[in-house]
Amino acid sequence: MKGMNAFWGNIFKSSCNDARNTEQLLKKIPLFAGLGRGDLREIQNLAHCRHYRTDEVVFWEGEPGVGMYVLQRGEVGVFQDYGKGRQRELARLGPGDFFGEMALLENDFRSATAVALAETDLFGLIHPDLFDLFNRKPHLGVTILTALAGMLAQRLRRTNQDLQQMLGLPAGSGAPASAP
Amino acid sequence: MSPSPSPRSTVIHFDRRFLLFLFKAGLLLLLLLGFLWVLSYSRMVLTPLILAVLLSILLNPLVVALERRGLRRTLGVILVLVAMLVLLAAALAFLAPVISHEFKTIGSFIKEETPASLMDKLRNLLERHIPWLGSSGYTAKIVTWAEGFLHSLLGRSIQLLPSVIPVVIAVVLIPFMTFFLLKDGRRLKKSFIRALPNRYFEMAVSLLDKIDHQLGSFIRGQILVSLCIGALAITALAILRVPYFLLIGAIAGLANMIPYFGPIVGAVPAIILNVIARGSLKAALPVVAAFLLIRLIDDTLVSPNILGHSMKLHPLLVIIVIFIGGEMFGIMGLLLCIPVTGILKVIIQEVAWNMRHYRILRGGE
Repeated sequence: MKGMNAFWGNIFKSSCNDARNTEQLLKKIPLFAGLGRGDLREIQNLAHCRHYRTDEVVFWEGEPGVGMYVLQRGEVGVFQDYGKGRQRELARLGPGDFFGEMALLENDFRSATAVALAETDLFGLIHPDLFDLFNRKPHLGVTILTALAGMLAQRLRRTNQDLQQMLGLPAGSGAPASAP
Repeated sequence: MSPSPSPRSTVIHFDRRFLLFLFKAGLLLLLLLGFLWVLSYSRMVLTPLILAVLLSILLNPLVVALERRGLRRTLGVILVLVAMLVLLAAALAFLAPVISHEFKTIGSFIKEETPASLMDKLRNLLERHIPWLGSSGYTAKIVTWAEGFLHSLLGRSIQLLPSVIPVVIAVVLIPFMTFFLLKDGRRLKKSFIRALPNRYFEMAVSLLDKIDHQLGSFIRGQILVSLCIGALAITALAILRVPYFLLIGAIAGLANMIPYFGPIVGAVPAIILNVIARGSLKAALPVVAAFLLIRLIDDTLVSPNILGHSMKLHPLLVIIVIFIGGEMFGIMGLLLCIPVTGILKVIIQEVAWNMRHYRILRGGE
């Protein structure tokens, strides 16, 4: 019965179809921060609105990644070795957070499992849809991919700093990624 | 491109959930077949729908190119369809004199020649050029076979006559359907995905995208190759002054969609007509040479460049499928059996790949 509710819930969604709400939410995502209203509407038209029940798995570690998700409502936990004895929680995400963005860049497998920890509404932005949009509107592709590259550069810099701290090296020594 | 194989074990374990999935997929397939069965009773809708789908796949890259230049999709679709209709009208206006001449000559040919007089001509031709056939009784056998073939051909032509009205309806329906398929295709796909349960969401998106890409390039390739072969055949037959070159060239282009048999279907009527028109068996040689040259151009230049090596089907499978398609659905089956087999091949390949990589199909959830 629960499954049936999720099924019909995905067909007759109300909150996901709220255009203004969605636009506001997308604006908060760093990836789409540089986009105008028209461009945001394009992204909004691509988004797949999905409703997840508590404890429902969004995607599994080791499965092929096809896109990223933006959390509209609810809570999502990101786990490694989910459901096994050595299960480890990597992150807990709330409304406005996003995850799975690495799937936009590479055709690889998911490095963790994402699970809805409450009744959750997500926007799924799928790699083929986004790249089809980039093909039609290259300026959008440049803006979004540049933002994504910036985010990855920031993460790399942070990882380098963590590594330096762990190894006890002075800040900025021999770390090309921290160069401007 | 599929990602590299998973480092995890790829052993397939079938469990109840997977069997349930198979049951649901089978039920869906049955529903789809039932829908197609209902549609098949109304060919007036099914044929234009299939043609509109093929046309929308063919025209989609042009609409995308216009979108890249900043045009809205609806406007792009309208522009592409209007341009296509204008081009079609221009081609018809340009070809109208040739077509009307061909129909007039066919008309006068039918008036002048009865099947019996045609058979007499064939008998004379064979006796004059290949006399040894007569002595062994083969001339009479060939003439009897040709007479039977001609009668069945005339019978089929008469059967086709009442389909003029559906053709007129199809001409109106096809652009209309193509417009909506091009304009709302993405929305239709999204609505379909929306109806799927969450656990199949990512897998379905990936599967649909791969099928969409492979199928699109295959169908666009097939249509482009057929257009090239049709144009080459029309040009060659016009140079050789073969009667009804336009009609036969167009048939040759269309028949090219049927592997192995298509080129023969295109060449045989041209050879027979040229031999009858010139009254000499030697007239077959330039037509055979022209079709061999077209085959060579197709195999070395056209098909490798347009189709590449995508969706290669095994020759044995192609032959079996052609026989089944022809036997079950006639000419439409012959033309559509290869694209349909291509679709099934992509679906089977992708489902097999997904079974190895998605937990829900491996029975791990």
